[in-house]
Amino acid sequence: MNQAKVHRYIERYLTTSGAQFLSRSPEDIEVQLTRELDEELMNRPFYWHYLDKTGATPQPMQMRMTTNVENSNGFEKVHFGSPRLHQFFSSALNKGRFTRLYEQTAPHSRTALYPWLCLNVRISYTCHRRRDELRSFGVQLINGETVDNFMDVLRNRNVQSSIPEMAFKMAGLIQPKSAVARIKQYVLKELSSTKHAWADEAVRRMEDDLLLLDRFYQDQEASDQEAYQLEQIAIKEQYQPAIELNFINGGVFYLQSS
Amino acid sequence: MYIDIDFSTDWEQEFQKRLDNDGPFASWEMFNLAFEAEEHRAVPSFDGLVAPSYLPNLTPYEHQLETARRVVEDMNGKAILADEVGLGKTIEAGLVLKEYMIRGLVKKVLILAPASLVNQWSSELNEKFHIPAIPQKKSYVWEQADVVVTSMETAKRQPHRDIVLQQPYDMIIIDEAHKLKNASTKNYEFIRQLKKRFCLLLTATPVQNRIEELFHLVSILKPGHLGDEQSFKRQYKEDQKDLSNDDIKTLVQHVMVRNRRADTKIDWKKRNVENYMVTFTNEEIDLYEEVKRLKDTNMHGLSLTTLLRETCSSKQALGVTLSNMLKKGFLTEELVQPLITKMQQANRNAKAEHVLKQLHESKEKTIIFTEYRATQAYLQWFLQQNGIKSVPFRGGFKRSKKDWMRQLFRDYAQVMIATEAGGEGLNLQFCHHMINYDLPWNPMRVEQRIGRIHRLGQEHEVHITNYAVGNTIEERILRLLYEKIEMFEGVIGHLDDILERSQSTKLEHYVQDALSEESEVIAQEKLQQLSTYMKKGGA
Repeated sequence: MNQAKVHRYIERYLTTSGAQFLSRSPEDIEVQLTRELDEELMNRPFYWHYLDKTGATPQPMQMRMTTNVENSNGFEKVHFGSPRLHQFFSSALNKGRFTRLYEQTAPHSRTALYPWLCLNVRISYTCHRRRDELRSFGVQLINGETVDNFMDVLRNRNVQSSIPEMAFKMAGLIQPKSAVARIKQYVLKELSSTKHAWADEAVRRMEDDLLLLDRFYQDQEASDQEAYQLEQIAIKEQYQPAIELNFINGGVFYLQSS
Repeated sequence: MYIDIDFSTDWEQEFQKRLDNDGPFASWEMFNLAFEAEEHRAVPSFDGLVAPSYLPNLTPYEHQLETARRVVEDMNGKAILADEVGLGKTIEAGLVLKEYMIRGLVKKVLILAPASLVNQWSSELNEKFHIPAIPQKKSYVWEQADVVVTSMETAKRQPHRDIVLQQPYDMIIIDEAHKLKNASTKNYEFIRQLKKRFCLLLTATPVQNRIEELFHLVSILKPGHLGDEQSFKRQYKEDQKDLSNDDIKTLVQHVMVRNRRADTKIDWKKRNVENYMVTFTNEEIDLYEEVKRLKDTNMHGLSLTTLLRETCSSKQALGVTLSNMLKKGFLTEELVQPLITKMQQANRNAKAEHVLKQLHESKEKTIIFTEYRATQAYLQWFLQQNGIKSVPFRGGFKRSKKDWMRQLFRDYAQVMIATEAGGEGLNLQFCHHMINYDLPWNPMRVEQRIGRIHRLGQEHEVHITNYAVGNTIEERILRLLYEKIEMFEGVIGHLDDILERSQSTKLEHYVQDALSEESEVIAQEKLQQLSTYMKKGGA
């Protein structure tokens, strides 16, 4: 993530969160936070507690950042990996988990909008190492059609929070939660029919280490039994292959038929 | 299937609630930003390092990146980081830790460092790596912080001990891990009881004396990797006979990374080395000759060599040993009396005088190394008399005193006079002048001395002056050994292969033996052997 992208991300995040820009340049960002943002980002619970007790006028803080790491204007330097950017990431992940959106249609046309469930999933393959895979699924809630890379579809549509004036929603036949279950099943089936070389490798390394451990303790006294078991557990935990499915975000989208 | 599959289900429940309550729902922009955040955070591949992309302000050296990569990919996160002094083991450990934290494999971390380095560790992790490490100062830190830095002494003491032993750690990092070389200590036993998945042991000297030390370190990481202790020792002895311990070497390389200065592609600041040949005053010559006459007594050759070396340093150093020998009955009053007379007559120290001249002329911050405590005290007094402030440094100082002396030297005194190069964390990058007032006979110790100033972070060329007194044993060692092995050029870096370290105590004896040789030819031949050996890196 280069600095221009970081800059753009922060601007979009703050804009959509309602912060007011005091100044902006390709490098620097100065904003007035809203109370909500201040409470979320600035970590000063005592101030807000005090305020609520006394009834004083809230004074949310201003935030000054720069994405030019060479800059010496005293602004907070933000880059990929810096705590501030990751705070924005977490905040967006938290605030952007659920949605319901409508595709905008040509004005004055009565257009049907079909319901879709979008579910974005992170599949993490972990052992002593880790790899993530992001998947985006869409399920049409009338006919059950299932689409991969659904975010790519959505990014090419103009979707907004309110339904266009003349458009009308088609009723779904499939419950959103059934669609979620369907996606789960789909992923599980896919995972169990895939060959996981990484997991085989992890198990091989685990077995190697367990074998060494056995040899190390073979002539030891019974009093070392506890140490042996401790080590054994540690080795298993180190290598045990696992797959984690984490639902990043999702929602219902009403889209025109394409 | 042998792979665990975990689902998080809380999203579904919350989603249903929102649908039932008709919101609240995120805007498209926020929804998209959330997915983008996850796209940026996702780790795309099992291999390689993602940590550097999170740390644009850190510019690790190539050897540090390669080390981190090997630890993660090849060693499964269990390794001894054994770089030579000054190559940045902390950076390597930080990279490995960061990598695991980004990949979500490590959350709970315990870092054990010498007490004086606890704060330094946590500030480096915070500032350079954005890892929220906290020094253990209050007991609630154990619960509140995921990454805790503390000292072994604190961790193994109650009430901390129970807390630490009961907590399963994802990663444990132990700095100055050579303190765990002995398996029968309380520290060792304590470490063995810790619950850990990943583990890094940091030490510049994985073997100080005996090869078993290495065995014990490896057993903390990976018990059984070198077999059990008996068979390991047996194997090592057998290997030594035919002078190849390749098997053990190969095994060790699976759990240990050791970078040497010479192998790194770092543009080291130049070492400028000058030898200065001191001319004794007439009285000092008389004293030296008088000491030499002890040869006609039945004194052991090695003891005589020691006395001669001390004479070249200061009469104070000589005096201490003489009085000890008297007490133990190795010398009689009769033999010592003429020496004392000569010592009283020698009221100038030519070497010290030249050091003073050099310091006056250069005005630079300078560290002076001597082998002898008595010389150290004398020099401090002598410089003080002549208006130069100095601070002493010894390995035996308490940690806090060491830190204090270092700070005084940095901010206040022109000179530090040290008797020992070792001493963890003695980083003197702010100083780039060094005087070897006398030379140790083990070349590795000279390298350690130089390592105090010639290290990463040194911004200037370093200047080293070696003092030796002409026509004495000092001139011999300088000419016969040090000039031959070119160690001051940094060539010597690859000598201390860790498995040869076990023999390094023999080195000094070898040198001493060679130099107490009467015949110049034989001495030269013996030292020639040694310098060839050292230049080849002992291979």
